[in-house]
Amino acid sequence: MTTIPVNVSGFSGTLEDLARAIEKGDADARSVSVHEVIRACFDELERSGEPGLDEVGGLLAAASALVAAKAKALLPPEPEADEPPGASGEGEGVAEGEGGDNGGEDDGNSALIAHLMEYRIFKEAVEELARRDEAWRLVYLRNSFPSGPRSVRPPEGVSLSDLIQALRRVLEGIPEDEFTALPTDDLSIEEKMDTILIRLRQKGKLVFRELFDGPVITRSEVIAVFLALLELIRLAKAVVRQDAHFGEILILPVVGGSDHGV
Amino acid sequence: MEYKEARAAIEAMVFASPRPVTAREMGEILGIDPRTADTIVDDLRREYDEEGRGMQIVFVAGGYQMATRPAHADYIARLNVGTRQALSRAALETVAMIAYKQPITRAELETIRGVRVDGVLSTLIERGLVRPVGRKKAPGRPVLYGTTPEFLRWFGLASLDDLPPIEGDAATLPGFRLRSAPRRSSRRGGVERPARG
Repeated sequence: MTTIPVNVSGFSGTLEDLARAIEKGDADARSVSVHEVIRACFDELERSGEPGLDEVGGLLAAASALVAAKAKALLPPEPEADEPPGASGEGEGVAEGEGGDNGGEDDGNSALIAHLMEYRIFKEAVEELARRDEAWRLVYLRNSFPSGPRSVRPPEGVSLSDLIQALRRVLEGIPEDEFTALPTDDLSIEEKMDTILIRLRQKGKLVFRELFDGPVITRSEVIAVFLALLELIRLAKAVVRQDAHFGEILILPVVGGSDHGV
Repeated sequence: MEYKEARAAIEAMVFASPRPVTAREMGEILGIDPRTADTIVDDLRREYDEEGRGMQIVFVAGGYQMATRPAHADYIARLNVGTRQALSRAALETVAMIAYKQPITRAELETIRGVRVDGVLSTLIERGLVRPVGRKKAPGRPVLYGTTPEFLRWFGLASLDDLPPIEGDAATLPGFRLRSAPRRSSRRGGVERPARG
């Protein structure tokens, strides 16, 4: 908060008051030279000897409020009802109680002002969220750790290219789909995922190749099963593991991995 | 169902659940009025307070959840169970904008903040506070982002209506989703909020 007095034509008070007055339309923005006012403030600061950080900061804040107010007053070429939507810039405790009284006729304000406003409005909300962030760090919610990523679980010891290689080997043994022009049964990856999960539950683990066991399996089906496996890995419902290089790729269920909601 | 039994069952459910339990859920499971469940939780909470227990029941993300008290944070931290990192300023600003304006695209966020947000956005997604919620019907079908229930838990918010109020003229801003005056202290007044600051 700066207390530097300002005297321009038709106005005297602090820099902040000036910014506020312009915003409210009490002072004519056109008659105020920002340059002169701020020049005068600097002179005042210099006269007062060693200015403290607070004073300089306060001046900066008030000066930006003034510039913002002037810009706002000059920018929108709206003929009437140019009451600005809200209070002045950086001041504390200014915003309260001024909001509801401009009956929504300002909707057409320029996008620039809207953005400036928006940013300023957010600032207070952000302060409050920062306080909450700090405060709730001290409260351990049951089962809230690890609160980090519940994201992709990388294959253990198996890279994606290993999986694709294995897929290729499976596909090599299967002839091209016949009658591809005819509509085939719809392949549902979801169904395949369920099948894999059920088999995992029954057997505890599956060897990659076992995924593709079964009566007459087509290439499209192999792809569907493979996609289902990738989806299960992504959802952290299954992991793949290879215990040794060139060993069998194993698919294991993830215990408790099915719950996704918070 | 007897009061004592219901109270014990509710305590057990809130304890065991990894996510906030709603009064409705408890009501359905126990065959009691959800309002009764609320009352029972209030009783439990009072008990915990009076006995000076290390546990409290908080109301976050629309349900009840067991939590420790701020006073014991130091001890727990020394257990090495992992403390959560404070969010950076940029992350806070971004998540706030998403919370108030969701669903919102990355480009819209960048317009308001005036800087790129991809790094911050992926941090927020990684921490589970933000998630893609759909795609905007606009050229390029950009991804829309929104907050998660984990966001509410993170900030100890009961619901999105519990967000810090945005004053005054926000409603006049295009696309701004002003929330109604928050119900700060409703009948959940008994929830112990951690000390501010």
